[in-house]
Amino acid sequence: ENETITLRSSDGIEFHIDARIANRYTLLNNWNGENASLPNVTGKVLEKVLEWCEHHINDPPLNYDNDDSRRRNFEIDDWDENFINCVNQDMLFEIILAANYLDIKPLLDIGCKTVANMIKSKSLEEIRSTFNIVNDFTPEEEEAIRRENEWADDQ
Amino acid sequence: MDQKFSPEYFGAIFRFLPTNKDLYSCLLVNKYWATCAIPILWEAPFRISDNFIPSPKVIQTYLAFIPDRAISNLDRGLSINRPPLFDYPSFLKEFSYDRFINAAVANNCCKDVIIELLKIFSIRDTKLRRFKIHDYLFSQYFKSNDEVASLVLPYFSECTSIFN
Repeated sequence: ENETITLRSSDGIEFHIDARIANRYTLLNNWNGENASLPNVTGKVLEKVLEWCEHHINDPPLNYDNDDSRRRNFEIDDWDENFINCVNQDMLFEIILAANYLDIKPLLDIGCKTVANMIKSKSLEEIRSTFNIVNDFTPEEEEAIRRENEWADDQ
Repeated sequence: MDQKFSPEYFGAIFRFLPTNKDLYSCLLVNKYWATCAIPILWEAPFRISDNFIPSPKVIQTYLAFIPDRAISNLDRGLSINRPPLFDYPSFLKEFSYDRFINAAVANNCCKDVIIELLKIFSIRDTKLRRFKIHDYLFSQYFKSNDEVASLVLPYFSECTSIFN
């Protein structure tokens, strides 16, 4: 009996969703009605994002402050942890990009925190191999950046 | 990952890292990660938090930004490497005056050098998110012997532009 709206992904896949989902998020809400195409999100990614939105449909209203300080105490609940751990690294990155594009801040936070968890307590070499990154510092640059930031190494 | 994410995304991710040591690892990954991690690490080397003890070593990096004429006043034990790779003072967002003074004194900085250090923040037109001086005023009230802190405090008025 709830009103539904139709969203279309960049690759033309249509999703019929509860209008209450769209109402929670400003940007999805803007796509209500005639122009419901999301040019930057593929069907595969949109499906995951909407799965998350559906589960959180009855959450209390969002109350976000714009404090840009460090956020060490943010916790991910069990359902969200299970949700985000079931996707591979590429999908995780896509979800982060889509959550930012669609302005779904709690999902953006979960994605970013999950990547941070993949980084924390790892050695430099472990981080490079986790994300497939090649070192492009010259030995001199690396030496300088170690020296100038050495104070942070023991905190 | 580097191709996908602009620095804003890296900023959002790095803010969830629990320790400065984690950020330190990130800034050694490659040049792009360094550019994204440095501004966050250098926001608050003298962070306002009850259980945080700043490393006095951070002063040694800041010393590379003070003018040559002030260097001659420095203790010989300090080595200064110039020029630094990044404009570290420009990233400051959170400042505890007491912790800064303690770190500077631990590096044997004299009054003139501490004033030069305060100037490197003021000339960059830094806008602080948080500033704390409470502990200092408290200890003054109880006639602490912290002479350097009281000597350089008047010069702090030169830095008023850093307040929002």
